[in-house]
Amino acid sequence: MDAILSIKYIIGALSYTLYAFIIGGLLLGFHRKIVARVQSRPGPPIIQYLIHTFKFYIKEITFPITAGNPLYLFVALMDIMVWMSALFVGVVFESSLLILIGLYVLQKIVEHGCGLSSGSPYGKLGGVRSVFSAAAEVPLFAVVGIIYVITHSLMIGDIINYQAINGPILFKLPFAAFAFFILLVSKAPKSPFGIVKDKCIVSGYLTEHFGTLESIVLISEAVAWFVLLWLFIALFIGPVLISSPILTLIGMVVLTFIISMICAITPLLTPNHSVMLQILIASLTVIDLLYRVIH
Amino acid sequence: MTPEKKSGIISLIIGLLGFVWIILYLKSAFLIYMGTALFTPFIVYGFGILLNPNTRRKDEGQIPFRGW
Repeated sequence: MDAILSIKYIIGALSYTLYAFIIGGLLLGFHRKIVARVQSRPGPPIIQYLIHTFKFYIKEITFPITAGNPLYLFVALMDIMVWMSALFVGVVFESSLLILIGLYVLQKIVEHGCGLSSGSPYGKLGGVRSVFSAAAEVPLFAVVGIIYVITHSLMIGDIINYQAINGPILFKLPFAAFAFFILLVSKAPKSPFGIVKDKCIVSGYLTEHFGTLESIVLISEAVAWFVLLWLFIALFIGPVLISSPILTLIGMVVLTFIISMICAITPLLTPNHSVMLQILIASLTVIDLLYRVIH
Repeated sequence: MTPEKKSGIISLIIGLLGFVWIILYLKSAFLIYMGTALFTPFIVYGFGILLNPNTRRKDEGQIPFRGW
């Protein structure tokens, strides 16, 4: 009897992942379409991201002779592990924000590992730039601090309940919401902060991960996009949108549209400017946190 | 057998054993979800390797340029 219940939970977990992958993939396809339209190009169809993922999934792979196995292989698998865990901890169980931060830090290990294990100079440079772009996470820590000061809890469920009573946090903590929004922009493809995947270093840390392994990374990035958008809506807008799946989807489409417009009209920053800007936003968020702690 | 195919089959075995372990020994819903997150990528990779087409090169697993 327990085994049947376990199988039901496993099917539930896999269904959630499939849902997050399809929605995340469609949103990333929509992102590409918006960027193309702003640049006066027709752009690929919205399902292009999903088509790419399936296409690469059945492409032959070869381990480069310089690749450090099993790390080269394992980091790609770890990427899905990280974002599936984030999906379950955040979206399904509405558990602790601290676990999500831990998982987000693990994502950095994936980026370093992908780049450094491949042995390619482009991959290595992508991995090194990933270290710089860790500056994007500093606002995240400050945002979590500010949310704790207001809600006295780090459980996502409690934060949603707080907003059900007191209204969306977005209007109380606009700067924290802005800092988290910058994190979303940093994570978007073709973002002004996307120094990790700058075209001058080919595909950054993903250069040597092709075929099935690239498909695996694409799956995890689609799930990551879904989780990050859901998290923004849950933490700052709350039950107004999060209580209904349709409204959540509409919120995600609107957020993706805004982020796509920003990505389309802003050039890629150089690594030093990108880090400087992120550190500036982080500093302002920390000042906001200190102000709220003192008052 | 190429190292790629070998890694795929090993992954598939790890993934299947992982799922059997989850079904038989884990009771908490949270742990089952986390276990699924841990072992699904192995199945995904192993299955992907099995779907890889047969190479048309003479030496299986060899590409002309093997990196630096």
